[in-house]
Amino acid sequence: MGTSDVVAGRLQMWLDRLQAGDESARDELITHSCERLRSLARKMMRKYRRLQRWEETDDIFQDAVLRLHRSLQDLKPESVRQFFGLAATQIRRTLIDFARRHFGPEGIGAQEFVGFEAAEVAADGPVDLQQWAEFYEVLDNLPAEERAVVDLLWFEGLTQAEAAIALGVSVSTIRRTWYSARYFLYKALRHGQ
Amino acid sequence: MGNDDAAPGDKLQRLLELWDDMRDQGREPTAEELCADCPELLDELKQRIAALKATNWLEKPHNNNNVHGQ
Repeated sequence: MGTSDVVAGRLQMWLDRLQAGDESARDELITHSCERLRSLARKMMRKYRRLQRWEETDDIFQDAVLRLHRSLQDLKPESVRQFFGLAATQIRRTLIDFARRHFGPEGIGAQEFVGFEAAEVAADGPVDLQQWAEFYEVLDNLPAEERAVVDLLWFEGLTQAEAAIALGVSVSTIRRTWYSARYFLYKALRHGQ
Repeated sequence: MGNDDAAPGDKLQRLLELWDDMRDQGREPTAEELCADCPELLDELKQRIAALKATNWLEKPHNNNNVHGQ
């Protein structure tokens, strides 16, 4: 059994304890997943170089961990995959808030903001922080299955076959969900739906 | 093209997969070609293809994308 299997096994044990009502399991979960959470935050911040000038990754990470801790009071993920999905959501929301704080109309970085007309996303994807913030908001509104597939294929860079194994579904299902997610994003980002 | 007994949603999905696979092979078909025997799916397929083209940047994993907003 590899190290990652051992870690996943421990996380699952704390998730089971949390499900059973053991509130101390929340701290254990976060403490023992810190390294992966920090890595996830770092990955997600790579799109936010401008924000990095104003905030350190640690600030984003700490804020996201606080949100995750709070959300675990109400939500009890059943699996390690669900737990990291929830963590990714909290990091996304933190980034959106930080981007708005700094690059919104009253933000300290507002003078650097290059106008955004909420219209089309360029062929290479969002072109500035505001568009990225909007993109992450739309991601947040994806149906759960679609969001999970985007997390695995895009954020984590898994192949469709690997994502199918991770989610316990067929490659065909992954492909259908991936197309569906992209159609949803296309409509939402292009037409503001 | 494909199984005529399939539900419209399944058939649309198969046509989309076919379009995607052929594009990967450098032979991108038009929606009209794919819907030659199912014109009722043409408009929907066009929209779905437009969505895949517009979100093609998502095909590159997050870490490998060019960094924007600098």
